[in-house]
Amino acid sequence: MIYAYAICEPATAAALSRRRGLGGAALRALQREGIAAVYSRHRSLQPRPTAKLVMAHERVVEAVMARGAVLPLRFGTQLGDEDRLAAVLAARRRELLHALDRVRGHVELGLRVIREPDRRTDGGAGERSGRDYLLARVGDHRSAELAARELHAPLAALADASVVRDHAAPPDILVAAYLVDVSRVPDFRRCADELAARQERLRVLVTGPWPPYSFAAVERR
Amino acid sequence: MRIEGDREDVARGLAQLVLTLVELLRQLMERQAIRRVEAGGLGDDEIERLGQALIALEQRMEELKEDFGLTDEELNFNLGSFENFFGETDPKQ
Repeated sequence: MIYAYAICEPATAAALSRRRGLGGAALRALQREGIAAVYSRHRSLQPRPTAKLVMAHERVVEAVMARGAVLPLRFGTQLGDEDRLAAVLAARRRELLHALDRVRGHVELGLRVIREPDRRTDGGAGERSGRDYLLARVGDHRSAELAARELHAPLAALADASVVRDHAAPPDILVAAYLVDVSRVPDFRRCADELAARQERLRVLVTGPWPPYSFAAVERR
Repeated sequence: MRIEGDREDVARGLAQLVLTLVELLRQLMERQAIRRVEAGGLGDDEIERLGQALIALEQRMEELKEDFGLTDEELNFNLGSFENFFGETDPKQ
């Protein structure tokens, strides 16, 4: 049983030999025609997403990111053996090389737009009908969503790619990820700060830099 | 006296935690109702009933907050800010 952390270039993987993966397992690299996968061997492994294991996975991915372009694999990616891993690398070689090119020199930044709790000025529900109340909430939600979209657009323009998540969970009104050139990260943060300062009822949280999880596109389909 | 004081703090802390979760659930239900309205296909009766249910939820929440002497700020303190749980993930904030 092997557990895979990330796809990268062979030179990047070679620099990782002294680091440890899940459960302290030695990190290994498998190379095929200009592409490498970073993985560890396990006799048996049922990786539950505990904070400790997720952090161990993340640390490996970040170590790869510090050394070169990385396509992070989702936590819990397991394969039967090295042959299977090699087969995946071979079968998807062109796609992986293209994805590595795309993320090279880039990081992922996250955006969370959070709605401040409503300050009801109408004195609460009072004697309004259920319909009025619900439609008022729909209106509030729409205007908050519109404002959040206006925050997103200029940030997306600073990024090479962006993804807006479907159905952000409350209190978030919008959750998005951006693939940003490392040199533009300060601009991105400044832009987000300026946009946030103009908003009264929305709180803006920029997170990262993260490995480009949202732009790796190497999950099994 | 000190023990009594501590006990009160614990009770208040627990109430704050529970009500924060209840408030999060209330917001989830409200969001769900908004989506259903936006998706269309709800009859007038259903919209009225959903709205009434949300009004009742909000009123009950207000009562609970008053009972425990908690403000909106105290309930929303941790909502939406994961850095409170994972302080190291985002040192910039």
